[in-house]
Amino acid sequence: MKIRISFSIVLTYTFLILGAIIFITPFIFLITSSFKTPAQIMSVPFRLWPDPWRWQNYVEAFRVQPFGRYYLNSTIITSLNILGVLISCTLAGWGFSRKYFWGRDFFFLLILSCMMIPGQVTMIPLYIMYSKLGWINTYFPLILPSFFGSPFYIFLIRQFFLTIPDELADAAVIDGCSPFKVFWYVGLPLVKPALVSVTIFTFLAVWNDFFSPLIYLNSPQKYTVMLGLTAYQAEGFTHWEYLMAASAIAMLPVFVIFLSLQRYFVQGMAMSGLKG
Amino acid sequence: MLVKKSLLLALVLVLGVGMYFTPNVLSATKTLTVWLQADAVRLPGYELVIKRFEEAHPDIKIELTNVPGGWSDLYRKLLAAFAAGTAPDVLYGKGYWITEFADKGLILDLHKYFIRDQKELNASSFFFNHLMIGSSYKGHIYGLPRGEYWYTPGYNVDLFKQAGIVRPPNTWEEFRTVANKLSNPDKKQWGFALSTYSRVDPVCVEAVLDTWTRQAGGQIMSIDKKTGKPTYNLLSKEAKEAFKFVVDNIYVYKNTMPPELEGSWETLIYNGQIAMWWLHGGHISRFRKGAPNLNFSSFIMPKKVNRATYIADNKFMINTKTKYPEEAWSLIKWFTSKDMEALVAPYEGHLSVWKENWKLPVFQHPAYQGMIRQFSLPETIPFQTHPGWESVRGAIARELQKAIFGKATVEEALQSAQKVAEEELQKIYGK
Amino acid sequence: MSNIRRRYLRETLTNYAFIAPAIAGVLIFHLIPMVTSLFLSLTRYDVVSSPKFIGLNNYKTMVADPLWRKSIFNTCYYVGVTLPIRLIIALIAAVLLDQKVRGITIFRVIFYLPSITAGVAISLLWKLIFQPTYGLANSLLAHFGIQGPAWLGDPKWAMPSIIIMMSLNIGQFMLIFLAGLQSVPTYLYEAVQLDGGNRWHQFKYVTIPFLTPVIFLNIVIGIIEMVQMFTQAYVMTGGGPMDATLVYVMYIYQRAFQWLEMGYASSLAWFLFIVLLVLTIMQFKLSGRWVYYESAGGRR
Repeated sequence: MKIRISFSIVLTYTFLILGAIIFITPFIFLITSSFKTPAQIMSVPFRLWPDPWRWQNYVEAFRVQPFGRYYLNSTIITSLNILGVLISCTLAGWGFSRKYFWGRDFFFLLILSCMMIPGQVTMIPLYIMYSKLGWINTYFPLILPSFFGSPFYIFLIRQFFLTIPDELADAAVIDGCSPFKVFWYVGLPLVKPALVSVTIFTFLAVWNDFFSPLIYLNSPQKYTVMLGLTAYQAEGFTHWEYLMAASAIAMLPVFVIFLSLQRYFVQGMAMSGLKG
Repeated sequence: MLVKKSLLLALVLVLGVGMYFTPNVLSATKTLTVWLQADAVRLPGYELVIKRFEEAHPDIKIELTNVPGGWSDLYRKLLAAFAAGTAPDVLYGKGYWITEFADKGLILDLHKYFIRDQKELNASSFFFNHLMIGSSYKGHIYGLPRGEYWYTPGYNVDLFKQAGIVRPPNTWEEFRTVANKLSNPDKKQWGFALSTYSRVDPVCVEAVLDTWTRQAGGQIMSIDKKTGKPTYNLLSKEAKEAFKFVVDNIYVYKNTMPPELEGSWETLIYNGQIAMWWLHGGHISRFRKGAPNLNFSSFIMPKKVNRATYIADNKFMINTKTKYPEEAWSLIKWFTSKDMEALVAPYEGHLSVWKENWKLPVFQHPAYQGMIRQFSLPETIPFQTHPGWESVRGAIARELQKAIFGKATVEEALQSAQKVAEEELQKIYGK
Repeated sequence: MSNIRRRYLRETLTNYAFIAPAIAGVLIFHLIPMVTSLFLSLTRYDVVSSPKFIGLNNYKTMVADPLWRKSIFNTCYYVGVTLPIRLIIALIAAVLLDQKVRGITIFRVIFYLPSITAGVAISLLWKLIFQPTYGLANSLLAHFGIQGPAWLGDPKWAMPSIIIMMSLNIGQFMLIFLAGLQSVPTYLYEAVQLDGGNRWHQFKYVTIPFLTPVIFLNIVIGIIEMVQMFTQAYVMTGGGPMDATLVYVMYIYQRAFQWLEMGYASSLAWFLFIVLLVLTIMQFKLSGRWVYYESAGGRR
């Protein structure tokens, strides 16, 4: 009995370690490449370790492109998106979680069904609309929609709101709270995990977003981090060392947020997956 | 906590909104927006020219945007900007965009300015002649050139010496022989390489068919002088011969780098794995920076019936909707002036349109010698374009690539290329 | 009006105040554009000049368009190969992570890494990995004496390169599988053991059936997500050598934003929509046959 348990654990660890090596190798390659000179990156045969470690790549990467500016832009866009999502989706999630009112289920289903529409169907008319409004090359197309709700997050937050017993809300009303106060003081505090999850999801989605900045932004000064990364490729020649350094920096916030808030992330994923 | 967080975010919102909506209070100075495209090597040169311009014209401020990415990215962004009404005052782009933009009424007709300031611009009669062909639409000038280029073969001097090759090849046959001698595909050595196989754009067609066809004495396109309507013939004897020459070099004689390795083109040259390639001025300045130990030079096109290549350049154009046409015109004149071209030369690498500048030290690199000799050949002429140039040539490139990648024979590829060319033309010109 | 009805009306209006932004959003950013794009698909429109009504011409062109067919083929190739690979790897990873061993969190982070950094940065990293001359892939292969292909430069290997890269993107699926694994009742495992079964039997007769709902969920999500692949193709190959990586959304992008053919691009988008809709409905209908829901006593 004891031998069998040890064997299965050894087997598990073997596969885990093997898998981990495969999964982490690209990132090791990323980091080591970011410290090499161009000659070393392009050298044949391949040498993994940089010699010497060229810290200047990270500094120069910011000089060759206004990467600090891109970072600021991405931060602003992401923060505003998170704000918008938190505001609109909590309000809507609360509204849809209330006792039945005329049209509640109809509109909820309507919103949910919008998840089925692929972005490409709406993107062209939206692009044209923004173009006519003169909003191309501004941040409006990238931020405004988040203030008007997002079906998936509304669904997720509503799930959490549904777990709050009606008695709590009723008690607050009896105490004289306005509906908004009930939402703010009773509802919101009880769904904090959902809010954290939504914040993380939104952060990841917006920070990593490429398509919308690609079609809406023209001036490099307005570029986001992801868009700016592609700018390290010139026609015919790529500055891999700067690109790898910039990519590492681009991935950093995502990595940090994921590490520190793993719990909420996993929880949010699980809740959404099983109920959906 | 939540209240504090939301206040902080609201502050960010206000900051963000404020930053991007600050009105331009400086009404005394005129601001010109300029979009151009330059890599890290060239950009400092352009910035220097602009700085000098602002010093010479204190009442004009230039807002420069270096649009990253490739030429097709810039093209797309310009079109989108024109559609949205946010296009810059001055734009920099490929010469063949002029037909598209002028056709759609997006860029300014510069003819009257040009006639007025002829003497200031006119360096040589060739320059004027070139402008009339390459920068014009329906007989009027719409752009001024920045950076002339034409392809001429470059070669690795050390590889030639090691193989005992005394002088560069003079004819197509010699070219093939030399390429064969310098090739060893198993050791990843090739005698020749092109860099534009997989692009679905006009450059591919130039590199694998157009130029070689003209060297064989034919041409794949002719433009009716009166109507400006083009006719394509990709099935002529010369076209077939030319394309077969190129494709056989890849697959039969194996002396040309396979198209799959196009992404490594520059690295392979730096590493001395490619003996000959087509280069232009921009490559020269880039190679000098990227591979200072590379010993390279250039020669004139090997002859079949002639040594054809073509001249092209990038152009500065002016937006029809600009508020300051005179100022914009003086800016693009500035870029094309003799002194400014001399200033830009070490960064940009293209030979100046002013012959006097060819004496500058930067142009004494051996690789410019072949280039200069090629320039003086009568068969080195600017190329003509027509509306729809890019879509027709892109469609042709797609079909030609089937043979380039070895998926079809030369015959089949040319046949289908001819078919799509006619279909594209029909879309543009009707029946 | 009676008191109760007045209160009901007030509550209804209050609730509508809460959901108003969301409803407005659905109208402005989803429904109205959707209808507009249907109309656009019947026009020729390049944004610079005004739209010209051309009836069903766009759809006729589409059916005869070889690039349209090619992009459909590429997308099916991509989804059909990558989705099973990702699901299998995700399942294996989830099973491994479900074992009660120490240090699980570290491994979970490592397995999730490629997914959270998904998009541009990772695509560029793999572009370097797949560089034929000095990239990691061919250098590794050269170590074993194998001559690696040109990866992203070779029409035959371009899509497989993207597939290899995306195969490591399993985080989302893995987490959902983990949640599913944790919902399997443990007494059933013991029952199999008592009947003389080994780990494999446990897996086959208990785990898998209980996992069918999450497998189904992952397939539905996976197909919808992967059919819309764009960033990877754009960043790594721009559509690929000889259109080998021209996936459907990439083609929509080219026609819309490179050629400014908004009408045609709209018809392409609508085709995608209809196909996805039909596909998802079919999947739900077929799910009754193979998905096991314990709560409903076996079949939903």
